[in-house]
Amino acid sequence: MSERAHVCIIDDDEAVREALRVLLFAEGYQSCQFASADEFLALESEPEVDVILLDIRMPGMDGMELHKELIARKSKIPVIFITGHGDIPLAVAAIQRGAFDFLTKPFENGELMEKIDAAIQRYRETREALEELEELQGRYSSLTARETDVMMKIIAGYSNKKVANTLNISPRTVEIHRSRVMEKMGADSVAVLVRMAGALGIES
Amino acid sequence: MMLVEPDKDVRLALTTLLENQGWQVAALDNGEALEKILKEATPLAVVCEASLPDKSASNVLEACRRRQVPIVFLGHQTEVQSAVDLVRMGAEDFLEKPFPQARLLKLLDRIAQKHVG
Repeated sequence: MSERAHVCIIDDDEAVREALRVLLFAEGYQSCQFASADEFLALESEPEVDVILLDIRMPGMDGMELHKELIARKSKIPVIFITGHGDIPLAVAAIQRGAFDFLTKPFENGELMEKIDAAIQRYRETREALEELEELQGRYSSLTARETDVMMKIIAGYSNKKVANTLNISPRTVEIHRSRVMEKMGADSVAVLVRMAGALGIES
Repeated sequence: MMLVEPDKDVRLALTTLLENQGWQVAALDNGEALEKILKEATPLAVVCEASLPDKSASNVLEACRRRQVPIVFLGHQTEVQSAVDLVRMGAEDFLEKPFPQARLLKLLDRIAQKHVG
């Protein structure tokens, strides 16, 4: 990992927390620990961590409930469940709900580290994709209403002349709008603009 | 509906269960036969034992995914990691044997509705 990744450990067993902390430290990762779901949720804002290792069975709110709460809060941090009790229905439900992975004790340290790295990698990709989308949304919202109209026609495959006829404006005006759309969106071809529209969920 | 179950008794019991619910069932005892059929046909869903002697569950899953056929695996309690991996890779579900019959039937109804609707 290029930057020091940050792992959050939520487990009521102090010995487990400590063992994980030491392992992660030795592997060059930062970590923070919480002894319960409530302790974690008491934070004012979601901690900036790359992955959460979550114990299923804990007194008070258990790991599954906390995972549901994180989903309700629209958290994107990947969650790896760790449990001493291999339970297929529980594991499958966790994955179907969107948990990144599920690990049954006892496990090899290497196995855990592999899963942590995979989760971190995916989280970084997700964040990058979200940032790109946000930037694209920003560019799209900077278009004027007329430019948006022209963009819709361009991505639908209209020629300048046809856009001009449809919107009842001169072909020269269409050209100007068109070049502004391409410039503002940062698209160097219609194909790129069509892909951008797809990413934005815009239909022509 | 395709069923893949190497154990003859279980295969018969599941076939009867599904047929009684009005499903048309083609029952097989190995993964190779399923993969051959998937090249020609697109069943509504596949119900498959996770530990087949001739094919790995992930191979079977891949063959189903290529044809966009939903698959439900059946397996044993010891296969938690396998269940997790298969569901992550796109299996509809993994039911631990023995499972309540109603659970499988409900799941298949849901899959059928999704498929048709």
